[in-house]
Amino acid sequence: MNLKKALIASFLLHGLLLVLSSGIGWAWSKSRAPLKTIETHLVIKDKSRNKELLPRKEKAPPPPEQEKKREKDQIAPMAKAEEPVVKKDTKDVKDASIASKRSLPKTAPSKYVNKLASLSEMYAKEITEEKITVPEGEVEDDSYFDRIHTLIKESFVVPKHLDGPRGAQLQAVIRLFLASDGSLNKLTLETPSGDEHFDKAVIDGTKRVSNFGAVPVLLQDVMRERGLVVELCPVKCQKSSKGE
Amino acid sequence: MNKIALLLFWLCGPQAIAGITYQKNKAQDKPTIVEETASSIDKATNTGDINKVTARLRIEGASFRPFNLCLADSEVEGSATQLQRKTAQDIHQIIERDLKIVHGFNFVTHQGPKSSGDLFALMKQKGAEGVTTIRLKFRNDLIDATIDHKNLISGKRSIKSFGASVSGQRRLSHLLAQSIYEEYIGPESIFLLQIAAVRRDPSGSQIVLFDFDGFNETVITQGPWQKTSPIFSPEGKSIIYTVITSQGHGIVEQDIGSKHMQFRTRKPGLNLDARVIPDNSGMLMTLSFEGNPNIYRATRTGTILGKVSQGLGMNLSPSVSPDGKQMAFVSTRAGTPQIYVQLLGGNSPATRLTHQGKYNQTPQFSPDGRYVAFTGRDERNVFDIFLLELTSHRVSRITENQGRNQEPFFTPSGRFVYFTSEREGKSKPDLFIATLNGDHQFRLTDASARSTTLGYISPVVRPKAF
Repeated sequence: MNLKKALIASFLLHGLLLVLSSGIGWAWSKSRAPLKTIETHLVIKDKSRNKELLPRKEKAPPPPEQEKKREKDQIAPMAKAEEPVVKKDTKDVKDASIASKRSLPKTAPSKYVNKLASLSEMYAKEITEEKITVPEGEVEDDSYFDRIHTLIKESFVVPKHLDGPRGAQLQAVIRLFLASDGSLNKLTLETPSGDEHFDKAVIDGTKRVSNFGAVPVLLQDVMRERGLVVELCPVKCQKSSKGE
Repeated sequence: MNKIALLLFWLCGPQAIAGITYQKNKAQDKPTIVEETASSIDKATNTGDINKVTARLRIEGASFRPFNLCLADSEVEGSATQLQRKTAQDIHQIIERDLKIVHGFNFVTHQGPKSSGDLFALMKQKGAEGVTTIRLKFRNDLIDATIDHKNLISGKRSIKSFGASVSGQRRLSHLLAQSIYEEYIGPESIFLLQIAAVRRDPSGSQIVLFDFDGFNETVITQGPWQKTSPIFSPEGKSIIYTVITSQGHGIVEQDIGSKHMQFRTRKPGLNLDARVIPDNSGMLMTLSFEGNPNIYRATRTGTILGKVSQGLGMNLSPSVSPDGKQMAFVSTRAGTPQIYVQLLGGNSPATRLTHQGKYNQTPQFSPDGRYVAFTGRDERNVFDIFLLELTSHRVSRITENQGRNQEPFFTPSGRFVYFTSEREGKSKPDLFIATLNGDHQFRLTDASARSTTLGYISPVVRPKAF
């Protein structure tokens, strides 16, 4: 009988405790800011991007002068700030050693690799819009490549006699090698169009752009050594000419 | 025992519940792809990867417009006579007209001499993209010309020198015009080429030779016979044409500069449209000695080798492709004259190219073999020049609503087409030139201004400069 009473009392008390703890838990969770899920993603060369991942809100890289200055100011605190975060997340010595590589400027190249890879990927899909549409999650304007696109397009002047059946099928591919200050180091005609007037117009037009703007620090090696491939068509490109 | 069980339940129950909740929260908080992120960064920071990435841009849609050129007045070095000043002025005018014929320039005017620096700055302000100045120096009957091109956009400057006798001032002018065109637009051989055409006179017809601009007309044939369908030999040294004598037709060849001609064929009936195969291995021609006009192959000296076209209807007006492997021609096998194309050699069937219009004639292969230009009569019974793309069979129009236009002939660069036209209220056919898109058309001759001429027909371009 006593046991029965004790069990009933215990259940009641536990129930009461449960209600109280639930109440306290609810009030506590209400008082806290909602938890954010951290999602990070990087795109490696030859690895397509997972579209299910949330789009990133990145800002275009500032011009190198500003960027350099900002880097000087921020490298130390940012490096310090980042290391403990990763250590805390992973609690792993191996990860900590990797995290040490994340201090600036080494974290940033991934962004540009991503950008370059995205552009290559975009080209592969033969997107033919007049303006380059940067894939989801990328910055749509102010990017360095948009700037190059705009500058070349503005100087893309072709003799009038090519406006017609003959010009409609032309397509030339050039490669620009840029110095870090954005000046044209070298310009090569990778794939001639077959029409000397159009090829000349393409080369002269690109040379008209006196400066493409200072190359972001982390793109400088690529732009200087490997260059940027630009495919130009007077009307609309009809075929892919990936010659890599 | 029961008490112990109660105590254990009392102590562990709530924690157990709270513990499960904590685990869930912990699972949500924890970054799920930390490992992956770290390895990704590791790969991304690998310099090998970044260097393998090549960015590509595609740019479509150019601005089609002429080049803004300032062609400064020609200057004469030293003290020049009035005649020398007149010559300098003439040279300037010929250059300007040459550049208007080929199109591609919008002239920004400049009045009065200025020093180079001032001129470039002023012209740039006026929108010029290039400034060309010409300096002439007269030495007895010789002219030394120095042409100075300054590209105001690239900053590139190039100076070239030419020399000629005073009597060769037209050729010198064409050379200077070519220099300007090639400096700002690109290579073009037309400036130094000549064209031949049949000039119809009240007393007969003769073949005449012009500079590319329709000037410097020279009669190169003689005799009372009517002449028609001329064509230059591939090396450009001789001209082949049909003569219509009282005894009938004949195809003859004549060296340019010589009055002597040689008969190549003299068959009964029609002997027309001789066309030399580009490698100079033989000729195609229209003959009717077997009845209906058909296309035959002959040796270069005129020995008939055999019939090329199938004997259906009339087959005439052959044009050999630049590779010499096929011909375009006119056939009435479908009831109306239409353009067909057929491989040369074997008994290849002909493919019909034109399906619009009831009267299509005078096909001409473009030098790159991609197009066939022809004369077509449209639904309003007006003759116009059309351009057919061989791969797509797409037809575009070069002339429209500008009188009666016939007999197209490509320039060696394939950028221009010469043709005859009766327009602007003038009933005599004249020579015109047009760009392939028809945007630009330019009159080269004016037969109406001469009472002794009935007009010019059948223009052909000399393939090389002499």
